[in-house]
Amino acid sequence: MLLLKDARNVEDYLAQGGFKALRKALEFGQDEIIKEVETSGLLGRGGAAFPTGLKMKFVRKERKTPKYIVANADEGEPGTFKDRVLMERNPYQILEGMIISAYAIGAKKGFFYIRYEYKEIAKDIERKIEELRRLGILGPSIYGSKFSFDIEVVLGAGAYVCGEETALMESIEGKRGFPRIKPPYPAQYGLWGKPTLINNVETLANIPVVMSMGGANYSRLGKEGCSGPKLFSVSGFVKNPGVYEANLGEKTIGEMIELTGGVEGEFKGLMIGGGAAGFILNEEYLDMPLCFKDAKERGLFLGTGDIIVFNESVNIWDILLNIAKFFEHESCGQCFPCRYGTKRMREIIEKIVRGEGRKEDIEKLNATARAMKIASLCPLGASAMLAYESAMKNFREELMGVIQ
Amino acid sequence: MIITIDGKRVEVEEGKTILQAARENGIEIPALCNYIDGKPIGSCGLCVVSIKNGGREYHARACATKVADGMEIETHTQEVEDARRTILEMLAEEHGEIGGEANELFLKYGIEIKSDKKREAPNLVDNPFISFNPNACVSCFRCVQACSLIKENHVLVRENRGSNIGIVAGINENLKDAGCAFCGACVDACPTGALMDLTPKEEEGKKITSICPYCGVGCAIDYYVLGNEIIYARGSPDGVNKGDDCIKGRYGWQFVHSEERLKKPLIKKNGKFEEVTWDEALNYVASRLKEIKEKYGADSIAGLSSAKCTNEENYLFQKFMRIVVGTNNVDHCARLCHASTVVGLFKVFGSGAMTNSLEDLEKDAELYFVIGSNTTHAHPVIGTMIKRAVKSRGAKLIVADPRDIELAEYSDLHLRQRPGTDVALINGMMNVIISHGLEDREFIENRTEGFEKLKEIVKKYTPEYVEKITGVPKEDIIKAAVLYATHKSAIIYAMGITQHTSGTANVASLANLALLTGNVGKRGAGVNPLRGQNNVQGAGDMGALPNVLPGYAKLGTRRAREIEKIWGRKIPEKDGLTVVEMMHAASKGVIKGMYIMGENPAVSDPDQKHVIQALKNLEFLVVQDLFMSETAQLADVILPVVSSLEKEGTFTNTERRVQLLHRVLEPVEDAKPDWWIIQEIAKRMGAEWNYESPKDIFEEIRKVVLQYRGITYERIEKMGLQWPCPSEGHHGTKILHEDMFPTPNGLAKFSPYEYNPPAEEPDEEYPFVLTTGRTYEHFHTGTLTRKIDGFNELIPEAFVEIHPEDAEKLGVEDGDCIEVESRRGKIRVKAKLAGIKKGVVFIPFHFAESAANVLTIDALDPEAKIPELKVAAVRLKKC
Amino acid sequence: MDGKVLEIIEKHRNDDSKLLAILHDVQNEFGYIPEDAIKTIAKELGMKKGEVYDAASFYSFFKFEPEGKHEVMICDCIVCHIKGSERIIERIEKEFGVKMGETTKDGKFTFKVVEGLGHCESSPVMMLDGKIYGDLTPEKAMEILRGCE
Ligand SMILES: Cc1cc2nc3c(=O)[nH]c(=O)nc-3n(C[C@H](O)[C@H](O)[C@H](O)COP(=O)(O)O)c2cc1C
Ligand code: SF4
Ligand code: SF4
Ligand code: SF4
Ligand code: FES
Ligand code: FES
Repeated sequence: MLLLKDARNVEDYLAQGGFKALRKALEFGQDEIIKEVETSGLLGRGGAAFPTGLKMKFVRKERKTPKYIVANADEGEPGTFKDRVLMERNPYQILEGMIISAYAIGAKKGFFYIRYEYKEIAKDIERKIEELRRLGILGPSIYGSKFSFDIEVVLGAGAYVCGEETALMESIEGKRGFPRIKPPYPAQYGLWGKPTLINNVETLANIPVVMSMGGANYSRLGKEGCSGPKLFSVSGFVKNPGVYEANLGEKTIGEMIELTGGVEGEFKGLMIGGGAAGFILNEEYLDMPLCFKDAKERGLFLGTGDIIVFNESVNIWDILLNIAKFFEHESCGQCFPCRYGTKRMREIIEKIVRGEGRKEDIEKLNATARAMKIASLCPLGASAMLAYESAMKNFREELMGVIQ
Repeated sequence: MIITIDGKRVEVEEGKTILQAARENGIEIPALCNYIDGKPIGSCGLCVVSIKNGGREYHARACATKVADGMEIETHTQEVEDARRTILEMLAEEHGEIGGEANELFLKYGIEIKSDKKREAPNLVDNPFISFNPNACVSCFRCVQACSLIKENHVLVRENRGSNIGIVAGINENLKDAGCAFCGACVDACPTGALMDLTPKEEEGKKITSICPYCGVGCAIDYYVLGNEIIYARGSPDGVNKGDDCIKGRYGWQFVHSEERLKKPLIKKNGKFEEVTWDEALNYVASRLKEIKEKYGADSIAGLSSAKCTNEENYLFQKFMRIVVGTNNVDHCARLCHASTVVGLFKVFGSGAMTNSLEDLEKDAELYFVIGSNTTHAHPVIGTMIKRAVKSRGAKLIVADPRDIELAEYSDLHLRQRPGTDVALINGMMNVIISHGLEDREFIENRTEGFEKLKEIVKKYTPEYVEKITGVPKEDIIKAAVLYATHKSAIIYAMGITQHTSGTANVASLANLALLTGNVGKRGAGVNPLRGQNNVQGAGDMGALPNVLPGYAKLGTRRAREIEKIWGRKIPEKDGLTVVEMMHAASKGVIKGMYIMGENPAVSDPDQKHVIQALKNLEFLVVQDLFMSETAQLADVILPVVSSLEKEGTFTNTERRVQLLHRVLEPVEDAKPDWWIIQEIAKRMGAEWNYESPKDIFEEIRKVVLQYRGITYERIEKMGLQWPCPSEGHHGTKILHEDMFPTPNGLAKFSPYEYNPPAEEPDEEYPFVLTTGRTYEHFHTGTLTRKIDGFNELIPEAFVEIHPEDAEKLGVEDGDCIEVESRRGKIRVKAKLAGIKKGVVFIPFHFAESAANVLTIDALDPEAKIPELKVAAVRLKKC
Repeated sequence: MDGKVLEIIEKHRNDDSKLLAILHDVQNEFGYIPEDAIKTIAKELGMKKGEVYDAASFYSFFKFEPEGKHEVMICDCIVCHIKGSERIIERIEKEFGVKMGETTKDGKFTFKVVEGLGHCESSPVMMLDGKIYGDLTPEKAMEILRGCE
């Protein structure tokens, strides 16, 4: 396992070769590190699968200082819990990745943003940061080099949208978590308007892997153009729900479900893509390899790498209502399409679940989906209807069956 | 750059948004939440357009997306229009009927309105001026942007999130508690009519633009009039205020409709006022004045002109006093506020007016040094300007004030000097500047004289020494000096500087400071007195002063003789009496008759008991006023006048801008303009005057006042001109002293002063220092603002601000009654615990029933004769 | 109270990101965020009180009124939902005679439904005073709550 190691304290981590990658990196030039990351083909693990090396390059290029780095541990997607497990089991690897990235882009200060629900972990990370300061791995002149860097832990306060990178930055700045209009992107205009690199914690944990084995070797893990180890949160009606590691493209969805001991009850369908903002799929997708590229080819995305499995007890409209409620509650309320659209979606689906759904309601849902998709300010609103749209495609009969 | 928009190739300036580019090319994109171009809020999503650029196809907000070379934009695709319709439908479902721009969009997209959802109103609705309809509020946040970005008040904020989102004031408080300035910027921003001014009528009125009747900023206000009634008002985009306004400009006109307006001339018969005809009143006034003049001589009569009256009226008043009555005993309330400015600045620069303009101060000042001015309260529009400059472009701010005034919150440095120690403070700053070698040698060399003397005098004002006098830590003095000297710095001051026995010294010292660092005669710098009343500047320009004629011509000079020629009569050469001297003379029986136009000395002047006794001692007192003021009650004749909203004429604002009034309303009943009354009395005393209109008078002013020569009513129909304006081709003068000072040799003259303690210092018997001033809501003696219910609701009564620790020692809590006593009298007021220097208390002077001026001292500045309203020793007692 | 709030602010004075941390600590101290604390925070951080409230009221875990002694959050997000969270909610509402979002009459519990606790491998899940309890059944949930002081 490259990510899911068990290294809960620093002795264990060091014993497993921890911080070697950092020492190696400190001997590299900054651009060389970024080159390695680019070569590795590492894609962001926070949902958008953006090439990590490229993002680093953008920030490195900026003239403005100071620069910041942010670890995104806001993990709020329902059905996603891999970041939590990673932080519990292998926290130092994340911190190591963060220090290397900071060095590469020239940041002296980092923020570790953790959702409120994980506050015990936040305390633990804070302790570990203190420990690393004592060890000279954080703070002034790391490992005796000229590089100084420190990390501040920021605890969220209950807002899913704060996982969105710009909302998260607003939150760190002590404001309400309203996503910003992009562009400008965080690489140019991030925290306090300064160039900022933001990565998911799993992405960061991959950095030491890249540095240890070299970008070229890393790029050969998994599939061409979709490389490296990935964590999958598998939940719902499977025998052993939990977090599983596999190289991208190595396993199909079906194989992954088998790995967890198979379905509990009779398989009905599943969700992938990052909880609520994901796709509701049927058995036709079981043979799809778990890979960003394959997903894209089928008009989907892997997102955070979660799989929620449904059995016969699950009613699709009921799921959609649950999702609608989620979005209504988690919409930041900044923009009309999402603020009113999520509410309307919940109201209509509620009506349908009550058995009062009509054809016009479906039309209204479709129109709302289209408006939200093109006119929402941030991806939350734009993706709120993905589940509905994909369910309509894959479970059309069941869904239309209750419409008058 | 070239872009394609709806198939049309067009050239657009870089940096523009798609929305701006579209509008410039006649394409309308719905944009409900866009309020300030280039500062997108992004809430409505209606402006979304389809874009092709660099091989990518996407949708984006037109208000937030900058144009890029080669962009292809489609603004009205089916998809986009459908999305817009859906968004509007959802609005209609949630909010039902809404007004304004939102409603226009409903009509345009044929949206059916059906909603009976009711929302709960936040606590902000509880206020006297602004209404809020929660159902119509679509949370677009334009109001929030206006309150924060335009006004820097941050009162309106957002609460909660998602579909529960809404606007509230402060911590969901009522507007007043949340710190609202009632500037109305939020109302102006609201596109749905959710926020509106509370007005008597819903209808639209006819718009008439005139000048605000209150402070010296001279905002242009658009009044909306129905019949003979103002419905609402807002700052005009065409004035110096560029659309801004404050509570007084926006809601303060309500006094014109007050029931208490005087409507008929009154003569006191057997101790009671009786209504009489104008003829009877005017004849009576003329004959009594003639009688007194014959019996006791012209110098037994004194006149108080008014900084609230127009230039034309002030001009006529002083002309009346000088050549019809035959005395220079004419003065006005500027004596109480800025006499020391005129004297002090004249001494140093050769001219007594604000050196710079609002426009360059707003744009170019790198640092504001605000001393003795509670700008956000007394001159709110300038206060906002400073806050905005500090917040949005990072201008520096130094505040010197013993109170924690609002601007102190925004300042880089707050110096809390002891009242009355300003000369020491400024000398200290100059000491530091010289010892650090930060003076502007070239400027001193080329444009000034007397530097050596200054150096000599400020030598002993080391930071240590000054700390002892002022109570300001020496590090702060050094910091202030260095900051001031190393930036393009503008000094802004008001009555906190002028109303002292050392007023002239204070003003001259500030002018010295500016000279020392070369901060004069350029944009964003200068020495800038803020004038209190709307026409203080003009009243002085018109010569409503006992020692100078119109245009500041000295008595007995060649220019005075030229004016005599124009007037066709001899002007007396002896200096007249100033306001405070008049009162002394009256109580001694030297002055027998007084003519007071639109002033209220019984409340505004120091040592109130003495003033009232003096006025009672007169044989004859005639008062012109809008209301039965405290002074009017003591009169023998009261002549009802119209307000500035009911007449024409000109006002000159604090930046020397001569502005034209437009008549907004017809006069109430029998009230008359002051100029008409003066002329009628003059005629009855033998003058052959026949001015038909203010314009007639202004034409004469142009001949007499050289600075006004190039100004005509036609030229200032829309926007005023700043004097000096020597010819009709001249565009007015934005910045004084750019190349030369108006002194005989063209050089400015350093005029250093030693620090002299205030006339009355605290001692064992009277251990506190009392200082007085204005509140934001009320104005001057309250004759106008206290006629308005909403203003009284906000600040119903006087109070005394006191430091919490001082209060504790006295056993006083917030809201308790305190007796404040000086050597001259005592009053009872409510305690208000506040951020103020320990040992100092503050009382506003608007309230006749607990008049601060019962306590103040009438000690005078030896040069400007301005009384020391800002420092008196008092003792406090819980009552 | 002011003293305590000032102490908290002092503790975070040197953090770059302070507001959230201060609000958390204030809430830990008082059980909610009192209005006076908002005023003090605003003053000390050079903000307007409305700006502090604007930020704070956005987050679902900040409270502006005192609540019950124990905070119980029950996850009703997709995974917990399909694994039976509704039955737990129903049971609690019945046993304690409250609706979700309310506080029991004796002030002991405040119940809330939340969106995803991030422990979906043991759904259905609840969080009691910050501690996670998984693989719940209505009975097990009641047992845990009854065992609460
Ligand atoms: C509504 C929303 C919620 C998000 N939540 C998270 C999250 O909890 N964790 C995360 O790492 N990224 C999240 N993201 C993605 C981030 O915006 C961003 O893409 C990510 O932090 C980049 O890191 P990466 O490049 O390492 O993936 C979210 C995005 C959206 C639109
Ligand atoms: S899309 Fe939703 S979450 Fe995103 S900005 Fe708009 S309202 Fe907020
Ligand atoms: S009136 Fe002015 S200060 Fe008051 S809420 Fe509106 S914009 Fe803000
Ligand atoms: S009050 Fe008006 S401007 Fe303010 S959010 Fe509501 S609709 Fe927008
Ligand atoms: S005008 Fe652009 S989003 Fe509202
Ligand atoms: S859905 Fe409840 S913990 Fe994940």
